[in-house]
Amino acid sequence: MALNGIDVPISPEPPEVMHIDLNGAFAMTEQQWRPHLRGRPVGVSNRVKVAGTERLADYSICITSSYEAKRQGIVIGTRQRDARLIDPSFVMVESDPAKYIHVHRKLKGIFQDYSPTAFMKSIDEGVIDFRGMRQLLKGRPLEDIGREIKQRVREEVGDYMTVNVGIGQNLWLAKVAAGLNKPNGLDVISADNLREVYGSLRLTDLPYIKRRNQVRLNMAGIRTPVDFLRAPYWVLFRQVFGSVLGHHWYFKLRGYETETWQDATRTAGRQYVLEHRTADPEQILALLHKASFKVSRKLRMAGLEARGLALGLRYRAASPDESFYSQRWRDRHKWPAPAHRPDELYNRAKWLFEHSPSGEVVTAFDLTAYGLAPIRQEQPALFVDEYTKKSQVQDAIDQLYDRYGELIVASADVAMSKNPMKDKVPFYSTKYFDIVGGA
Amino acid sequence: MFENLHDKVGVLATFSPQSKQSVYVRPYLMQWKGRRYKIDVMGGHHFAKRGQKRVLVCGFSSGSNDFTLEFDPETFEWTLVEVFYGS
Repeated sequence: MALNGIDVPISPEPPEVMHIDLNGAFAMTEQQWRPHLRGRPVGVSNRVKVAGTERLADYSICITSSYEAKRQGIVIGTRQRDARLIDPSFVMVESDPAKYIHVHRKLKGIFQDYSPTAFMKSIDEGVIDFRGMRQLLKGRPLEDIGREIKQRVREEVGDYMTVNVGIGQNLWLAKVAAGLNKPNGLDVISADNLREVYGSLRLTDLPYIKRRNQVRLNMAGIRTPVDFLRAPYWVLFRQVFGSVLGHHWYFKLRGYETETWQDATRTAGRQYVLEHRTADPEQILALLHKASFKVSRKLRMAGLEARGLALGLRYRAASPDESFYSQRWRDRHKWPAPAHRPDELYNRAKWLFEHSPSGEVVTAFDLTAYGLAPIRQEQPALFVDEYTKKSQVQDAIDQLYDRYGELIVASADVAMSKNPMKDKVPFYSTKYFDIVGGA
Repeated sequence: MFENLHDKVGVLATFSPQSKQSVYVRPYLMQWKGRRYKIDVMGGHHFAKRGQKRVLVCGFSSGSNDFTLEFDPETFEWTLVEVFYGS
């Protein structure tokens, strides 16, 4: 091992990476749009009422909550019923992706005014990389730019909107800095205060260190971020992570860059939690068919086709605490020929589903296309074959979707399905927004 | 408490050109069910797709309630789509 016994010092590079994230993004956006929600505990859910009724769905869960709610312990995953017991003034709002996409685009526009290399990491967080751009800044401190961005967000996105700004030597440290003083913080982590910052944090305060990684680190005697920084290279590489991840952590903690931002679309998928849980294969297949339409649409809008398809199913558990004991099944397969039409994807999903355990009550599923490549431009056939005919029909259907809305034309099983499948908020990848264009 | 609606309403609004391609639309007064509601605080506005159509969605407060309006730039119609009864 080349680095055995070598103590790599903390990077002397100045902090030039800026991470900006919106505070409680969706909840704050709802508070911005509805002034009477400001200062109140608010949660955002994908489903607030039972479909087709005015009855509140007690079991719907918060996908995000406002800071007023977080202070009372109403966090991601809290059920609507429990949140109302904690605070009767709690308000659950139905998620509105169009609104969040609007805010996302506004933020992206502001960030890109400062650097052409600015990019969005997810729907509510972005990075401006100023490395190698010192001359353009003309000696202006990054804290000053951070304050200006905060002001512009208030003026251009909404007067109630606030962001956390973190400045660090690498992407990861900038994210750590952005989380130091939430909400509305502005912090810098440099070589001078790195140890001091680590000293004020717990292991799980560090981005990407959750329970499993914490247990791994604890088993090697690493209990604090300072211990993590002091840990020798070989301990992280061999003992804790047993892979190149240990190498990355060793350098990341010292301010060296280990992350690269992947811009290419690698997967396209759809997850769904069933409103009407069922063990009936016909109903589950109808939902998979609907999901195939949605995945196909994403692929076709991006001009991609997929060779691989993965299907994951979650079953109702025998235990009352479903979140902990629910059973999962997952399988995937790569076919020699790529596919992008809904009927092709559905046939593949059906094939995967036939290999799953039968008779179980399905509560949720996910369908993910992978192994993506641009749609091949086939040489037009002299005589119209079956493939060409189907592709032409699909093009016509896409035009109908563009004009009248998604799934305006669909197969009978999809149209008859009791389970609605509304558009949801994508948490991580925001490439779909760039593909579908402006709402 | 929220109420979802689809009521056509009368709105007094200004249309101010922002640039060559965009106009800032700002409602000031809404008439709904014979009553006038003065817009106290503008929340936010964004565009949403209704099929191929793009509508402008505005959120604002009046008195103790929050309202959400949709403006159809093709028909110049305003529709009240949601009320949040704040008190």
